[in-house]
Amino acid sequence: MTAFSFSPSALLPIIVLLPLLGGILNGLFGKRFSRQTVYAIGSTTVLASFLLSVMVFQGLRGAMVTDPNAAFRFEAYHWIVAGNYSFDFAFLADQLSAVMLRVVTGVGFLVHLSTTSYMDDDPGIARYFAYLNLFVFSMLMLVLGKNLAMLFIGWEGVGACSYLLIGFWFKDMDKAEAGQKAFVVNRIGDIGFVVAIFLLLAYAGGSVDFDSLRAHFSDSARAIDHAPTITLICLLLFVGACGKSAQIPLYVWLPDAMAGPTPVSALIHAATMVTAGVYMIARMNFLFALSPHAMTVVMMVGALTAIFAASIGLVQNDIKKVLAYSTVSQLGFMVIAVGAGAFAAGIFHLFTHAFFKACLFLGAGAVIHGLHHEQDIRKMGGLKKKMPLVNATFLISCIAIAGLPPLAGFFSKDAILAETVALKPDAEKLAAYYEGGFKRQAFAEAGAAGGEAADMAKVAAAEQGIKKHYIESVEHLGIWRKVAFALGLCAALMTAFYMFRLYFLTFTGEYRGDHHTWDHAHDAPWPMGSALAILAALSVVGGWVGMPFAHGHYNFFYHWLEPVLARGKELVEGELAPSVEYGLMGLSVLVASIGVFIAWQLYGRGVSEVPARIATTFRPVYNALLNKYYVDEFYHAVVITPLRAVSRALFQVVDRVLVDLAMVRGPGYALVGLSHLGRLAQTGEVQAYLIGTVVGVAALAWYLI
Amino acid sequence: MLHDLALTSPLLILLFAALFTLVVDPFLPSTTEARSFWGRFGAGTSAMAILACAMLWKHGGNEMHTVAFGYHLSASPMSLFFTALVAMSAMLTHLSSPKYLVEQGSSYGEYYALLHFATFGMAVMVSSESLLSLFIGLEIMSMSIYVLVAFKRTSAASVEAGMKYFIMGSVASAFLLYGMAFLFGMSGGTSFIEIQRALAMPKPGQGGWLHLAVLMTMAAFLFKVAAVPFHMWTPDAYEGAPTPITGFMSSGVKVAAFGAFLKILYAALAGVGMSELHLPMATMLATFGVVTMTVGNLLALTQKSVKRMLAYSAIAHAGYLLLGCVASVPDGTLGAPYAVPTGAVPFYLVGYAVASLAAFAALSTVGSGGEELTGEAQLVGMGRRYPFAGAVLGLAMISLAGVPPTLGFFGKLQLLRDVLAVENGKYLPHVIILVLNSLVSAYYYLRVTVFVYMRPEGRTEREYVREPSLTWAMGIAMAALLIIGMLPYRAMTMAQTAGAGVRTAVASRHVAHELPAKAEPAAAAQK
Repeated sequence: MTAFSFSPSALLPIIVLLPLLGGILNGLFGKRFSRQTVYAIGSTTVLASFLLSVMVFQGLRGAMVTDPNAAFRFEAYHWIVAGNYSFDFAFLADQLSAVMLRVVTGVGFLVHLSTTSYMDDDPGIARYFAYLNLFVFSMLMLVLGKNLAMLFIGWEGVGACSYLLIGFWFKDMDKAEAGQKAFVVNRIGDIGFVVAIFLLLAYAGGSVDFDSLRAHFSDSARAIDHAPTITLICLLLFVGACGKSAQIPLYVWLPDAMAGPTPVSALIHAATMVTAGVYMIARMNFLFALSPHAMTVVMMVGALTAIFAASIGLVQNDIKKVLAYSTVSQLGFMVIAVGAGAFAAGIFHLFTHAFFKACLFLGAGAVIHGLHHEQDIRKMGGLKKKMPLVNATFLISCIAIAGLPPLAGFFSKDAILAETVALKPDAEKLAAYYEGGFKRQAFAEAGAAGGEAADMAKVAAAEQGIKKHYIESVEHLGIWRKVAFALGLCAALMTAFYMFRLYFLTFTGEYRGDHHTWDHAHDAPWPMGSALAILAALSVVGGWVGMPFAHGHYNFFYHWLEPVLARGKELVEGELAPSVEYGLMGLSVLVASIGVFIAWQLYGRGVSEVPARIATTFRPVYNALLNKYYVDEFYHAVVITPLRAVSRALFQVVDRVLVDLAMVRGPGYALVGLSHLGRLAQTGEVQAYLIGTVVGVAALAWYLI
Repeated sequence: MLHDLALTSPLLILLFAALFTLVVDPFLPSTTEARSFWGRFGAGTSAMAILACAMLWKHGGNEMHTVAFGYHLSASPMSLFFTALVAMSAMLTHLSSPKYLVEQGSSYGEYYALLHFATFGMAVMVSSESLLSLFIGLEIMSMSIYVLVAFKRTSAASVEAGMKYFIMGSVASAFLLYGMAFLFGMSGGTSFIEIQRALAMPKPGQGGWLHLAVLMTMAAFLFKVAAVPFHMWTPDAYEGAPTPITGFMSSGVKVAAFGAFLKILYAALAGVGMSELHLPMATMLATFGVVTMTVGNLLALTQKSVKRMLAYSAIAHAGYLLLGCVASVPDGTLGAPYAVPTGAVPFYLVGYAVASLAAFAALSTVGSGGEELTGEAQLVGMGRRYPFAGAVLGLAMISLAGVPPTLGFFGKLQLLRDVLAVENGKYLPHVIILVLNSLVSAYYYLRVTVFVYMRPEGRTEREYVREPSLTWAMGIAMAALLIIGMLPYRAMTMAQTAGAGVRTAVASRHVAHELPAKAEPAAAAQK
């Protein structure tokens, strides 16, 4: 138990505002500070937030002893109250936010720390730290927001910071364009998200507060009992998640986002921001669980993304690009989880992934920094000797991400795959929820068929038919789970392969670059080294908080999230027999081992001709993979070029002629002309003014008499 | 008696400050320092008046005692809100005046005394519960303002403006007095509540007189708020007056006039709508509002002087506010006996007053040594040479145009919403015209920012007046625009309470006790 004499609620605004303060200080006065002061301000504010987050977490644990559904709420003020709509500026720290809080501030602090060695010669360091602090601030707004509006503020804030940081070296046109691409692609997702928020406002009682939304959608009496509407809202929310969490078809920005400084990739494009979509879906589990159809779409998009990105990752030669596609693929796994109804498993994978992927990125950063900004793995090799610490942490993280026990990635990935096949939506409960809607539809159908007032028997029959149809349609969705499982398993195989390909090519064998670089190569300096060590340690033990029941252990992680995810869990049920679960576990271990073995065969035993021979044999496939399936080129041809042509035409015709001339300038000139006319009355003589008064009185008199 | 004094304490503070300034000033040396002392003194006393309002708002006695001096004055949420608003206008005017007057060569202590008297008059107007006190307040205010407009007595434009304003104002006062005489004649009382009761049950044959009374009163108020076609004095008076006084006229005078107008509409004439006469007051107000805003905006478009442009913008805003006057709760029928105005007008006035004060304070920094430079072209380079004043001016323009996150946006938003709510969108056409009008207004407001920031500076390097108290005035106004603009909820609620306090519940209860003898014969005569 903790010894708080005050409520941890009061800490929430402090946690959020500390990084903002750091950002403002560094942003406004950073140029006058010394390098060390900038480092200190940037890192300590996030460290303080982390420590406070731990206090909140412990406080929550304490509070849950008496009230299992405990959560801390802090309401700063009513932001906007307009008619029936209200938005509060309020924070919520429940079990889900508490986990996210620790990940964001913890990994955030480690990344701040290691940046001090990665960016040690950059003149824009104050600007960089200001952006990074602002990012942490926005991310905290996102995870602590008590309603969708607050979440959206953070959502846009992280997007803006991501844009700023990707294009941090904005003098390089490619990097600036990568930032722009990320921003624009995210905006496409945001449109869906915003429309979903508006729909929720319209349908769910004028509030987008999570507590009231959950209450609203848990009560069938107040519910929107129209299944397609809920499906539509869920899909629109998912469009937003696709943008932020880099899912097909909006994933294209994430690989390009690697143009930013590597620690930024570790924090924003691996550990935190890109998981916001998964977080949001888990947060809205009570809504998504109501629509098995939307969930299936989510799950399949996740599965396709997982295998699609993993396959591209197989042949990439840029160390960061491999990691980027691996991130997209792992995000696909998380999306499979939340789409399958395994919300806890999704968050669990988010949690473990944050550690090993941040560790991998920071390790890659150390390699790139050590080799004078060399990123091509074909020019690396044998770095084990030069960088023992980086080698060790990288290897640990590779094992973790490949899904070998007992490291973190194994437990979370296995949980996702197992639950994908184990769970199934409770069609009866859902049908009960939508009963009102079915009734109305039945009345409409029976009425339309009968032409006049329908008799009750007909209506009841129609209702039964609709209900049966609905339940069947839900049950038919089961097949997709098996597809998703199979795709996930293949993706897991590929993951193990390309991660170890990356490891072997970088750290083992002979060095393939020039000697000058090799002589200057060095291990990570202490700030980065310590961050790597901590993250590697967490990649080992991080998974142990969520060991499955089959181990005879108490699954702390699932139990912890229970209060937030209860409604989702109620509607999507299922258990696996321990024997099946062990079987699946064995299968995942086997698959991962095969992946690692192939990688060792091809790349681990010195120079081999086999990969090149495979590449020549399957030339078209290899080229397609190397060029990322030509998706960027496809978008360019199908979306961007026509869009540009259309907008150019619109500019010439609609904007120049219709808007500028007919609607803006024309009325403008007309108004100015009228104005000149009106000025004639203003002669400056009091007599004329008195005439005006007489006219006014006459007008009044006409009205009144 | 003590209660009366306590309830009117904001007024008394202002009156005391006026008398103190008048008596003590001759004994001070006529130096710049002494003048800036009066500026700070005036700001301090105005702030005290605001504080008194706040305390009365918070701890405002028990309900039975909110009427003071025999139903002539009151301390209702309404009067406190408006008094605080006029005191705020006075405070910022006091702060921005001293240096300006020194530069213009007409720095005399009487200025500050007159400013206090004017503020006192406004406070009396908005606290009045009877025709008598309303008229006295109006005259105290008007007389002081006439003199203040002509205060640059070496400038022909200033004196001409004062004279014109005086002549036109006298006509309006005559109208008002005439209307009041008829109201008194019909009701036999001067307090609003008596008038209301009498008008609710008119005697046969009173109809014509009532029409005449309403017509006269309306004409007077439409003049005071500068509605078209009673507006023609406005540009001349605004342009000729010393710049801080122009700011004061567009904030304080407008606030007081609308406060008193709401009192007349919703307290004194409240029964009129219910009587068989059915005066179309609401439609009339809305029509005047629409005409006023359109003419104001149209004429503002082609002005070259920012001061004169703001005069026309004041007319346009008067139009918006006139339309806002029809928004009432509960059922939106202006003239129903229990209707009270929504918070739209009080809240809009806050935003408008603060933005005007900010704009005129910033304008008074341009130029030194007797010349007044308020033409658009003369603002060029301000954003670079005096960034703070430039930013304040720009922000004021943005707020006046009604762009978020400034206060002006929420003011307009609430006004539109409340007007739309009246009788299920009866005024939808008016609201559409309002929106189109604000579109037009954005053009000339934003043009100012173009001149401040985006035009290349010529060869002449302009001097700017920089002075601490002026900086304070601009800083306070800017902070208010931004802070209330971002967190408008509290102020909105207060404005709502203010609107609901237009008729003190107490007054009706009291009079219900005391006036049955008068009311019943009237009722009997009806039967």
